[in-house]
Amino acid sequence: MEYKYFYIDDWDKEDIAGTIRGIETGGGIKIEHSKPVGDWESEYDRIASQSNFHGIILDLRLQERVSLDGNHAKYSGSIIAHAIREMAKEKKINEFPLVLLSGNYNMQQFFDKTGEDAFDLRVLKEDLTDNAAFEALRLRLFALAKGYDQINQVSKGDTNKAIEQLLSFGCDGLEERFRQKIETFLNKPTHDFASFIIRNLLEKEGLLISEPLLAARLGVEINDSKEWQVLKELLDGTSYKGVFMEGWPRWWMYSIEKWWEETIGEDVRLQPISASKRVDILKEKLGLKGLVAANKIEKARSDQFWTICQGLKRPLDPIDGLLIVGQENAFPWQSKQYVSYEAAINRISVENWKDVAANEKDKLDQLKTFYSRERIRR
Amino acid sequence: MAELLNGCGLCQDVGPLYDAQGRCMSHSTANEWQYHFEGLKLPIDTMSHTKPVGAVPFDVVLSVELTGRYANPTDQANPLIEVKKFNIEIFGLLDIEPIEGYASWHLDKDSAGDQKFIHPEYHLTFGGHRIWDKVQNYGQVIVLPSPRIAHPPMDAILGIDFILKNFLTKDRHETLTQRSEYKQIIQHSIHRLWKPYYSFIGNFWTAPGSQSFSNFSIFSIMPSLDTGI
Repeated sequence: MEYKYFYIDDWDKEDIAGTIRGIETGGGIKIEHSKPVGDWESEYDRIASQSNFHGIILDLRLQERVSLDGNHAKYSGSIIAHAIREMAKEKKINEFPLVLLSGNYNMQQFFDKTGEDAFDLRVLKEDLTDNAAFEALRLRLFALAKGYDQINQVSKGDTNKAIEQLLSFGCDGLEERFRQKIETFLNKPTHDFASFIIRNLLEKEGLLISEPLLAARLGVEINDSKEWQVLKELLDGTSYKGVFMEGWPRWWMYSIEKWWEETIGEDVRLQPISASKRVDILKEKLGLKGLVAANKIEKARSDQFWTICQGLKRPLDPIDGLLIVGQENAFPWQSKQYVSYEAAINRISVENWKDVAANEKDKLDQLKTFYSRERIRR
Repeated sequence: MAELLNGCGLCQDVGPLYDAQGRCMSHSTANEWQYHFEGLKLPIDTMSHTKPVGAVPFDVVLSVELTGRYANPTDQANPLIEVKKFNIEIFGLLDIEPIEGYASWHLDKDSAGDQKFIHPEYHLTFGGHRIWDKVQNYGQVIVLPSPRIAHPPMDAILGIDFILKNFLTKDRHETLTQRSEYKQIIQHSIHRLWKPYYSFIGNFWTAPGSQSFSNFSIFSIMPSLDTGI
């Protein structure tokens, strides 16, 4: 199956040919570029009458170069996105994914956050630096187009059945508050359902976990472990097979714990044991001698890793971390994020975590005093 | 409890309690409930008489793994079947020495059996195996296996209440503990766990020889009562 995206950008074809080629390499995605029309009414009519694509990619600033009608457009990608969502609500057009592809400077200077909800995905042009970045974007574009089709087509009469079909996971094992919440989104527009899934399930660790957290919770250092891929294959039954799975590889934490109990036994719980013990058990039970245990971050005392330090992006036991700011409204099924003492004290990659939570500030001050004194005494 | 703790700002990451809830649903049977969680971080206030002088404790961490019986109104049974883990750990910094401070307590449920020292079925004790993982310099902490303090059974709810009331000043915890929803939750656990426990102990005097309690032995839970007379 090949999905076609319409790409509106005021740059000339030759300027963006590399980007398009980068995304299309690997297959499954075809991109048709066009400059904006120029006149807003004509642009609106063009989109309303298009039906041969599965999604639209929009540049944010469409005003900088000449449009198709020879003038400079007076509207932005955000305005088009907003109009598309309205047209879909009025049932003038089908619902399809919208992706914002913009330069970092324009995003910082001109992107109004209130327009954020219209987009399923925001991508910075500067981040498309290598094949891996293009491949990740291609997979997400593929997942979005396919996922919108799946959501549009699922029969919503029996809500539990619809949820099970879309998540490819039995409602029995689903966290009840999440099940109730997702149910309320089933009869909303496809875009609202898709946004809920992407922002509150796929992009937040909790019910589902990403590959780095999966490795941390199993105690494994990915980069040094020759057999990490083999272990991942053994865990295939626990991976997320629901809507948008191609773009967001994730694992069900519930299934990982169940797998551990069934494979290793109920007597040895996963969380209370050290990373080295977890890896020793995996080596012994599965015969994967090439696995290597992850190491502690400096100043950390425990290697019962259960989260990822948002500064150093390395495994951390929450015991050795400080909560980061802005998580007050997290849903119960979402895991809280931490920064290690080391990263917090030295403000390592602070752009990733911004600040510690208000309640943690006193503790951070105590830690700073403590560790500065320790250095002097050494 | 998770939402109350979170709402009052006393615990910002109640994830472990949510984890326990999920596991309780999937691991329990018709007659038994079971849950486990690790690392519920609760706050601790500075208190006088903390030793060594200048030590700053800043987290109390509860980890629990329990199996219990669903209450049967006609049969007052020993409410907990197994206490695999009930650890209360205290993390902090020591002022006089540039090292981290650590202490831990755990609630045990052991059979009285062939013990060298007095060993109540439910007891709270200082130490726990994790202390040796956490303390490099044994001089920091003196740990003895005694005393083994008899203590009524606790579930996670009573554990949280225990921590809040022992490690926070009254002013601090009362915003939560004086709330009627909170009291109701505590009352419910007290009724399920402490009523049979204390009624049985009470019966030792008020109704000696009573057979209405199962899975309880008076000298097992209160060895001190066994005076041999």
